[in-house]
Amino acid sequence: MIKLLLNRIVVLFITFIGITVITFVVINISPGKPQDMMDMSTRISFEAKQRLVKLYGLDKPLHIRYFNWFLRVIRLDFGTSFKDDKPVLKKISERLPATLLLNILSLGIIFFVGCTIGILSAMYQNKFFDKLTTIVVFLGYSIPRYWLAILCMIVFGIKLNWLPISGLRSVNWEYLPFVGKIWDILKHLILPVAISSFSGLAGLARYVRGSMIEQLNCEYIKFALSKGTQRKKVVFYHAFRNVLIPVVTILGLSLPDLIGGGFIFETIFAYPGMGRLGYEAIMARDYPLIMGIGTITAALTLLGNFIADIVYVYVDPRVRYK
Amino acid sequence: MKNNILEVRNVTKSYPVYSQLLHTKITKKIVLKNITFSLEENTALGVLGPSGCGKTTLAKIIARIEQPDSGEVLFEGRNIFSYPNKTFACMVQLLFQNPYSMLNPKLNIGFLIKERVRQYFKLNNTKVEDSTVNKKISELLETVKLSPDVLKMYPYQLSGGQRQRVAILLVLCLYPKLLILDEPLSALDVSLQAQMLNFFAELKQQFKFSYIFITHDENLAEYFCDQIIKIENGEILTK
Ligand SMILES: Nc1ncnc2c1ncn2[C@@H]1O[C@H](COP(=O)(O)OP(=O)(O)O)[C@@H](O)[C@H]1O
Ligand SMILES: [Mg+2]
Repeated sequence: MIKLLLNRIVVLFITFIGITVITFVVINISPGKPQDMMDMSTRISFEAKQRLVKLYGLDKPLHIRYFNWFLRVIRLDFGTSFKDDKPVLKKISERLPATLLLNILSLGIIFFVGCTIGILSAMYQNKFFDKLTTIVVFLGYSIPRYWLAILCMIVFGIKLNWLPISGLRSVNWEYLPFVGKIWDILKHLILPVAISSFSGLAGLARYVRGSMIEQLNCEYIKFALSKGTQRKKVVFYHAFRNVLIPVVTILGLSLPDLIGGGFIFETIFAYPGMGRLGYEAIMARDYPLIMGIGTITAALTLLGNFIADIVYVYVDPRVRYK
Repeated sequence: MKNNILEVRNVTKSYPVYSQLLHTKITKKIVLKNITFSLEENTALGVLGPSGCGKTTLAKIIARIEQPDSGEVLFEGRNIFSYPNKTFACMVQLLFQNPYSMLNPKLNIGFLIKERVRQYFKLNNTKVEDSTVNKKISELLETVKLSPDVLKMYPYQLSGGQRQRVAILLVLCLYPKLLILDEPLSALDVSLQAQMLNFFAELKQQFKFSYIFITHDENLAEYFCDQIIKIENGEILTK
């Protein structure tokens, strides 16, 4: 067990380095230079520009720059943004909570709603509920998230005027009472969370349905039922427990998709998260900020997969004892 | 004359056959044709027949796991499907042909046993403490000659003989009136078969249930059973 964990951690670390190397190279070979943006910005003085170019050694070869960058990152120093000279870490930590909030809520909804729909449609296979959810699920599969986002913004935001369509807070947020503040944030979250979880939820529901049907046809389920307990108890304790194992892995794997999709998704909703910050940073060729966000994203994704691995080991006895 | 505990009347069962290409149902395969027989209280009935003749299907119909296409099965004079699940659980229990398939692979043996033993007390409307349940479990483990070490193990860690004994414990612990044993020796090594046969004979002595003993071995059926029926191609040949 401990050997297994150590093994995973080593693999994780190597993967992490690999990701940062690739990000670093890709950013640096993509056309456009940070200096281009700085030239347009009047807020940055010539001296600051020189200092930055020197600090980041923009004139040095790529591998040396990566190595220097890596040495600083180990000390948690991500440098300062080219754009406004603010520390990258500070810029990210301002935006990270909003992104985490969005992704954790989405994951939670994908998990609970996806599993519930999957279980119910397996239990009532080919009945009305199953057929209805099958249609919805295939829609969820096939509709692009960004298109759906804009459609919902038009319908619920503009035509019906039920929900705010951008940001996380209203302009008058500061002056709302406490409950009002929370309600305001919730209202802003409904559309982004609903849409970002829709396709993942559809996929998971489909997966859970299939696995549950397979499990429910197993003889041990029939045997468990023969002791005279309620069907839903057996469904939950016996069948779903076994489906849960791959579900955990799937959730772990959907994490990069969620976080990565956030770059464009958060921009559409003008959501004050790390994704939008990353989008802006890429547009501005703000290398330190891009690298910072890339690193944090990679770390979060790997962490998510690591947690999934641990949970997997915990729920599957066969992994645990090997 | 003894009472009939079980009556099987004109039971017919078929399975659908699907086309390979589009997975549409094309025909049906009739597995059991007009099966009729009865079983007296406290007797052991042998069901003999070559493999594939429908013995397991018959056992599953009697245990309410499969539904017959037509005909009915009466237990103590009433259609089995008229009993609530809880009542029926104490009437008929089936030891599956493959005991490994009865055990949830992701749960340990202790959990599986505890779940059933608790259910036994629940079905008899007795509230019990954990200590009583544990006492009952060790008693049952002794009956099936298993060491308590298995409780911490998972199904895949057990030997064939241990799995068989765990499975027997699980059907036994509800004290059914009728116990169906579906080829209980076929999943075992030859070396274990004699030992387990003795064990089943002891079991029969100890627990005065009614038994249906399914096998394809005539000698075994004669050794174990009071009456024998033979099935071939889904029909009863002789009584
Ligand atoms: N679930 C099923 N679906 C389709 N055919 C089945 C199914 N179960 C059994 N059969 C078929 O029914 C026949 C009888 O099977 P079974 O009752 O298991 O025979 P036995 O136990 O006597 O060996 C076999 O030909 C088998 O292929
Ligand atoms: Mg069989």
